[in-house]
Amino acid sequence: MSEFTIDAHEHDQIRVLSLKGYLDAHTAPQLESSFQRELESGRYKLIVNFRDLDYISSAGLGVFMQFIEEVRKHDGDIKLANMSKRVYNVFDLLGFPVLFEIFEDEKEALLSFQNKS
Amino acid sequence: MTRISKTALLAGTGFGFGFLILFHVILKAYGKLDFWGLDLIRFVVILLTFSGIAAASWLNEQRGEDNPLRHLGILIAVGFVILVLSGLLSSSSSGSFYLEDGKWIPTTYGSLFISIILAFLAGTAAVLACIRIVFLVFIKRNRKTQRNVIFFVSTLGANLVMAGIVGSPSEDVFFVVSPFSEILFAASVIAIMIIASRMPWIAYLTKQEKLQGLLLSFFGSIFFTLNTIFSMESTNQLAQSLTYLHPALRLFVAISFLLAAVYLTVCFASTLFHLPTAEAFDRKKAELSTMHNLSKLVKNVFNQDELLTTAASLSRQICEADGAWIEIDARVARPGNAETIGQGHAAPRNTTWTAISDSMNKDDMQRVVAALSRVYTMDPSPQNKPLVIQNAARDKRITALQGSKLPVGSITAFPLQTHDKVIGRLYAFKRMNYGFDRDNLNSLSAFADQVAIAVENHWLITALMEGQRLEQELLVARQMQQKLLPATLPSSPVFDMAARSIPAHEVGGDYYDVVRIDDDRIGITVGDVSGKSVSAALYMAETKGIFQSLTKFLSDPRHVLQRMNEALYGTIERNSFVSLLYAVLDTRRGVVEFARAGHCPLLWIHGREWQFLRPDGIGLGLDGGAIFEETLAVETVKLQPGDIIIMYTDGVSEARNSDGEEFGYTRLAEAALDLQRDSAEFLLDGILERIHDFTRSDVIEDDLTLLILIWKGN
Repeated sequence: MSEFTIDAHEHDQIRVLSLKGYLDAHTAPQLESSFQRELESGRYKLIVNFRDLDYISSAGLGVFMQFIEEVRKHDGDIKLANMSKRVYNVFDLLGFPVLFEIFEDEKEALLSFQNKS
Repeated sequence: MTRISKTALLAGTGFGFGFLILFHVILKAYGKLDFWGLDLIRFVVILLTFSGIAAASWLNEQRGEDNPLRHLGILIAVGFVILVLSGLLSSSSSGSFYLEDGKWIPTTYGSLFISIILAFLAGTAAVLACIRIVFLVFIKRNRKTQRNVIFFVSTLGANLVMAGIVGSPSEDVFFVVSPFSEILFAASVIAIMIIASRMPWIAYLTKQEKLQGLLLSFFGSIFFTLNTIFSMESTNQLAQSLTYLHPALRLFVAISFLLAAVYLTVCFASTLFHLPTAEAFDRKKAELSTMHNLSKLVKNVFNQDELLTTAASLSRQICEADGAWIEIDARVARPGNAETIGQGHAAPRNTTWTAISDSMNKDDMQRVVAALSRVYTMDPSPQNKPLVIQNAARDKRITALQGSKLPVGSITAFPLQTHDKVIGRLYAFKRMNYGFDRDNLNSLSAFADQVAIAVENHWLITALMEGQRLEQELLVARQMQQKLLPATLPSSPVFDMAARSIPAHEVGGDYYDVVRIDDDRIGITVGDVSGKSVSAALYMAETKGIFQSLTKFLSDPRHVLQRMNEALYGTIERNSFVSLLYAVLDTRRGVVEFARAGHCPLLWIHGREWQFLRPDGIGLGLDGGAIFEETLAVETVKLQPGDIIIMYTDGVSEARNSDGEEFGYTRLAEAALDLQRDSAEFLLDGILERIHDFTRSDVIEDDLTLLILIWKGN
């Protein structure tokens, strides 16, 4: 049904997951297992790039909540970047901007990781 | 046949018989009654009398009963009786006729009676023989059968008519003096040959029946050959008696007996030739009936145990094996079935099996099963190929079995395959070496496919039934969830309220509720649990419980939401959350005070203006407390008469049409402005209709909830 793909690459020991397509209850498990893999291999500095994401549902938002606690416990973070206005509105409505750092683009997110360390 | 027609036929026959006796007595008494018409009357009476016997015999036969041996038996009995009678009479009363003027005249009245009775019985026997043979011919008939029978009956009729019309023939020769008579007789002989050339029913007899048939046809052919000779030979008492009654009768009897003699002789030879293949034929028939049983079995697919037991027992029958069993790989078995599969303890891991054997106890069977399953597990390549071990004692593939003294000589196994998957195996073994021939293997292979299909069907049907059960349970859940929503909403002269919640699936995560706090204040909430269907519905029920209990002693929106967040954060899964709006309407002051926990903004329509109000606040269950409390803001609205407050879930604002466009906030507000505002219920219906017109779809993608409050003022 709805297409959803994740492209992962690494940038200065920071993992960037680029999402594409529709993130909803059907595709959320895909993102879940991606996060799972990153955490299992001990990578806790994560950036999620939303540039090509067309749609996100509440189930999609839930995935970020599921992992943020553990990531932060290991001095890491999940930073969000390149959101379209529509996707941002969904995050915003639920109050995510107070829970996650959201950046205009990937570079800013990378910079914020590097400044911190 | 009715009683009346039976009586009529009997009476007719009796009358005919009486007439013939009388006729001949008069004939003897007066010497000659010489006019041609009398002879014709005699012929017609004879014809009618025997036609009556034929009709009675034909009608008396149970139709549809195709037992060739029964017909043969009757034939033999008839032939035997006539042979004995004519034999006895010829020896006891030789010279009962003398020839005068080319005609047989009985010497005494006694011999007159005896010969008429003999002729009458012989005629009846001929009729019965003909009818029985016609019955035999019609077994497994084909297109030509009826034509052949008609041909024979026609030649017979032609013979008789010729004999009857030409009149009193010479007595010492068989044929009526006419060149046509010989041609017609020859035609009858040809018809007899044609009829006797086809006996398909012999092949279908079992070996036992074939032996019986052989015996019956052997004696039958002898009896009828002798009878035929006696009826043709002019010096014989039988021939003389028949001719005395009427030469045409003699002709009829001769042709009928000839038919029986030829037919039975061919029958004997044919059965003899079929004997060597009788066993193979029996086996094929057994296989066919086994297949037939299986197709019955396929219908009864509700119990896998029964299915496998019957299948194992049938596979044993098919190849006359000493034991058979069926293994189902539990890894491919559908979940939910695995617990009921199998008898005994699964020998190889991950499989369950059902075994049938007369010659082996359970433990021994288990050892064979274990030894054989190892053949497959050791060598991965033949997983979907049949396995044949003809000499178990020598075969290197099953060393585990050797020295075990188990009575196993040859073993074969076939994979049970559905599509590309091997779901299990069918095994069979025999005590003797080289027990499985090619026919056995072919039948077992075909049977294995049938079993695989049956098992697959069983799985599909159980899955289907399981699905239906879940559907039923979801229906109950839906009814229960509907009861979690308020059955009635408070009504008052100062406001009008309406609400509706439509789940996208059987159950959903949307929630709305209204509580009366005190005389002046009413608490209103609309919420949305993240996720879909069942899990969302469970959290929705929890949310309702928390809301109902908190509003008993709290009224301030901030406090209510803070406490709700604490309660939910402690119990809800980390990836789930609840967005919720909580408003308190003060009916005395006309004020709405509300807070928003990550929920869709509240729509306030004020005259011709509209406004979406979204005070800060994050969803319930996202944060343990500090951030939630810091961000939560409360907003107050002072209502004027005619103002409308609309609370909803994202199923309304995000309802999409086929282009992926969302219904959105603006359309919602404009709909509320456009529509009649007198009744909250009408307005609600109107907005839902607008959404439906927009999406042009009867399928709701997301749970949808809409609550409307129209303020009328004091």
